[in-house]
Amino acid sequence: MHKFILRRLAMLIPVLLGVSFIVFSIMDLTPGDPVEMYLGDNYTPEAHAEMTKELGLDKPFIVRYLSYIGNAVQGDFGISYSTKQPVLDEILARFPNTLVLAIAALIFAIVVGIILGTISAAKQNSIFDSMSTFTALIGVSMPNFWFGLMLIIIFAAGLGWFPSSEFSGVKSLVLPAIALGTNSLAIITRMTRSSLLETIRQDYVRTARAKGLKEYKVIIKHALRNAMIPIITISGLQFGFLISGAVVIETVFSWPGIGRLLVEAIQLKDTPIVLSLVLIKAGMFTVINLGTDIMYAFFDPRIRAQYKAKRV
Amino acid sequence: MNRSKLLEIKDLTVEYRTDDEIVYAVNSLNLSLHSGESLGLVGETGAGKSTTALSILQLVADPPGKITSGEILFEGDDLLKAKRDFLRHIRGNKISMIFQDPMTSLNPVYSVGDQIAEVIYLHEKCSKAEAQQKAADMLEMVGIPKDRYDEFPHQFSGGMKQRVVIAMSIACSPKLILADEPTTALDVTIQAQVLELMNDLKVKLNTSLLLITHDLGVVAQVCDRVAIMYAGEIVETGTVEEVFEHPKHPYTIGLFRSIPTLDEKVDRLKPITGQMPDPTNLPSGCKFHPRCPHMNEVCTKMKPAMTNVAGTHIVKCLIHEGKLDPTEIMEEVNYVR
Repeated sequence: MHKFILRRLAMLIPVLLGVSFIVFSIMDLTPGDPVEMYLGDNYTPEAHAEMTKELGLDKPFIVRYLSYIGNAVQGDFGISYSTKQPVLDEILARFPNTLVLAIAALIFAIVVGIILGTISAAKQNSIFDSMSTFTALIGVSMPNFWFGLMLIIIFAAGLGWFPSSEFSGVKSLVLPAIALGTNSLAIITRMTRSSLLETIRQDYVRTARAKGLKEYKVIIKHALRNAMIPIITISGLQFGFLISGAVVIETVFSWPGIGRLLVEAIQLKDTPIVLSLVLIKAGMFTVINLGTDIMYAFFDPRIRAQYKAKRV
Repeated sequence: MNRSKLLEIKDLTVEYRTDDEIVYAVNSLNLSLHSGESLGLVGETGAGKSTTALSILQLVADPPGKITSGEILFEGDDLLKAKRDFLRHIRGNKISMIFQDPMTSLNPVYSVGDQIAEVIYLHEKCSKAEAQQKAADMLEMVGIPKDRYDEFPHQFSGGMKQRVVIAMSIACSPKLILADEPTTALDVTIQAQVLELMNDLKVKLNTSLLLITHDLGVVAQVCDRVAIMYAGEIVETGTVEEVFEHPKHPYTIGLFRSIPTLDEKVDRLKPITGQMPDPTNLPSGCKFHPRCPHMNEVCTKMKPAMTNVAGTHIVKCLIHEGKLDPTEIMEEVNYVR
């Protein structure tokens, strides 16, 4: 198992190299002059030339790329062109906010989604089932910025239960987490329902019933546990999207996360910030995928045995 | 036969309903079983054997299955009218079931030991540790070493899985075991082992057994009584000797005729002609009449009743009810054995 995890973590290296190269190329090919951004409105051609040299932008593409990688390996991700602060400080100040929001949204989506999906499957074709299908359809099709605004209007501006934009504590997390997680919630609900409907008809579920177990135990202990693999897969993917897709919600709720930072950095052609953010997201995606694979092993002994036998 | 009736099924009717059609799986079935007795329920695929067994524990998938009428009396209580809690107390504890396919009837994500311990913990007032200890003993009892307690179903062969299922079904010393083709999915040598095991346990625990099979040889080996099922009805029942030595119903006779004998040179098997009737559209009168060699006008119109022919031997056939002219038929019926 440890070997499996180490091997998968080692795979991060080629992934990150590939992603950084692609993003570096794209940023280099897009029009716009970062030196202008850096110097502001008033500068002399000499200052421009000097700054170009100082930022290393006079060197060939490949040399710049390799030196970026070289520095990055040592923990130096460069200086932001726009704020002139070290990139790492900028990101570390905001990344935890995004992570907290994404985790809160994911927990909301998984907990509510699995509960709704399970009841839906257990009471197939009931009124509850139709209602949850309808709700899931709305959840998937509703634009989340609009839903965020509605939440603010009703629960922040109207009822005053939660703050709308001030960034403080758990209470300020509730509305953005719901707005961000609703889409994933709908997807997880549907996935839980369909996966559970399949396992609920299995012979071993009938065996469990024949033992005299209570129906909820039959469903939760015997059917749901076997239905978890697709639910974990979809939840992992959703987590990746939640981390990278929080741009709109962060803007609606004035949430100081990396989503907004990334959009601003792209507009200002702030290559060091963009690169580092994309690398973080790629890294997160890989780690989340590894996490879901480890979760598989937790839920299914057959997969656990495969990992142990090093057949993966 | 002074022993008390452990299980009595009266007029059980089970249907599977879909939007377009109704499958008449079990039709006014009557069956009884005394304590300590083992009854073989024999019939072709689709005769309604499994549905009957599932109905006893009310495990028929609903929808589409529906028990539309009848009574299932277990120790005098009608299980069809029983409350859920009572039914749960019966399931796995008083009546347990061995399912047809051991490959799929164990949960792949729990260890075999824990799956056995689960039913013990549920019904016997004991600690988890005691339940685990007893589950380990149960594994030993069916010939699986204790130290395989923590292994998962995928680490077992088919025969061993069926042993685990058997261990699970006897764990709470039930009064009645419903065994739904327990050996069908196993190869012949393992079949023999499993049957021997069930026979031993039956004697040791004095359990009644309802053995569902389509294998007459298995019935002869394990059962005291036998009931022949056709198109959702019992057509003939009696002790194994009565039915095997003197089969009366043309269907039963056909079944025995279709078994090839060892001391005779045979080129072709002798099957019963025709097909099982379509359960959505059963024949009128006697349900066997389209395939019966003695079919008469009256068979298409009149439903046969249960007729006692000798001892406990009961047949559902118009010939034995005396509704057909005996001179042209009886000799012919008795030509086998």
